[in-house]
Amino acid sequence: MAKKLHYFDFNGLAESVRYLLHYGKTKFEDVRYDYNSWPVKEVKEALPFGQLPLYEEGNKKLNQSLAIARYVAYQVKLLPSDPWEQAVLDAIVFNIYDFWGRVLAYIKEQDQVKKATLKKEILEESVVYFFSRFEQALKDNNGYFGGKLSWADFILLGIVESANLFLGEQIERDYPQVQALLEKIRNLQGVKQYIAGRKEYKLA
Amino acid sequence: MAKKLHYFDLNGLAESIRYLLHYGEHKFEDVRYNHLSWPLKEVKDDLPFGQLPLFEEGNKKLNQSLAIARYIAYQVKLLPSDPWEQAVLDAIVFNIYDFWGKVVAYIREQDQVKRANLKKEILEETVDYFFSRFEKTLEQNNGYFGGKLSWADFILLGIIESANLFLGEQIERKYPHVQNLFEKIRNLQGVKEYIAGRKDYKLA
Repeated sequence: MAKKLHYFDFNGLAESVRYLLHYGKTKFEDVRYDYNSWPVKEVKEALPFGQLPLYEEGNKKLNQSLAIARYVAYQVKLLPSDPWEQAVLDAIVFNIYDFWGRVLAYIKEQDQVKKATLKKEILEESVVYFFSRFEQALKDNNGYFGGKLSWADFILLGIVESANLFLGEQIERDYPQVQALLEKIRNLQGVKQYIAGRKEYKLA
Repeated sequence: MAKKLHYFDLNGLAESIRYLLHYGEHKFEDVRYNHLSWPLKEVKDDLPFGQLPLFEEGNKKLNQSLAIARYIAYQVKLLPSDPWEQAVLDAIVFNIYDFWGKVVAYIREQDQVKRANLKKEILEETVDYFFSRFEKTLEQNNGYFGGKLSWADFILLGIIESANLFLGEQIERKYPHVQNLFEKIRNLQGVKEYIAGRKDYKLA
């Protein structure tokens, strides 16, 4: 069944999904919309809840980046079979998305003074709070959130890269386990080739 | 293994989980903290990411309400076995939580004028946007999000009861399929007895 992923032409919430699909050597149409000319009315109105990303398999549609990612994870065998182990990874992914929520608040803030304050808070507090915990979890689990490669590791990579793009930073720089994990994923077969052929993301 | 759920003495993000546990007739310790005297430093500092709810099974801990709910859903047989069907319910649950996110923004807003505007927007736009879609899905799927009772239905009930508590409204009032679904869940064995013994939630 033909697979399509629809998102903007940057990393955001879809890059983890793209990485998972390429890791699994899944053929899919990688549909990208220019963020600056969004919304494309006829596309947006056809979306289940008006938001990207959207994933299509044949005539079936799925929204919500984490529903898509978890489904693709199952297909590419990066989802553990044990329910508790699945739950532990689910929680990690939601904790990663809570961190992303802070970055999103910064992205959405229009007032430049508030924006600068939010960025300072992210870099001095949120990154430390979340990444010290991610670092510990990786250290305690053989360098992977679930003890071996799983979708949660891919989610961290995509979100960190998006945060770095929007903040103009390298937020993982004080966290060696996180850096090592991100490098391992970038060098996986399928992922490596995709990255080599991908043009750099720019915000404007 | 001994099960414990920790949350505030409110519905919030934990009531769906309580409903699922009671539906499954699972013995668990329902630990509740007074939200007005939170944080309790020694409890909060011990939480994986400083937030409630927390679920404990023996000596294992899990945070993130949706990770907990999905895990219990599996245990009480309210999670479909097919991965696409699971993904469809995951997406619905995330869409429900996107709605809840708008209510959280209202709850957190300190400025009374902005707060009133946020409430107006929720009641005049957001409810309609989300609930017209939930209503249609239920109508097309035999009255349940997944065609038969599942955890997604429980998530909607818990979140809407929380929204109603914080907004002082009955947001499902124009949506008969949603109302029917709620009545069905409230009358399930286990859930019914729990509700009968539960005292009314109050904000202050």
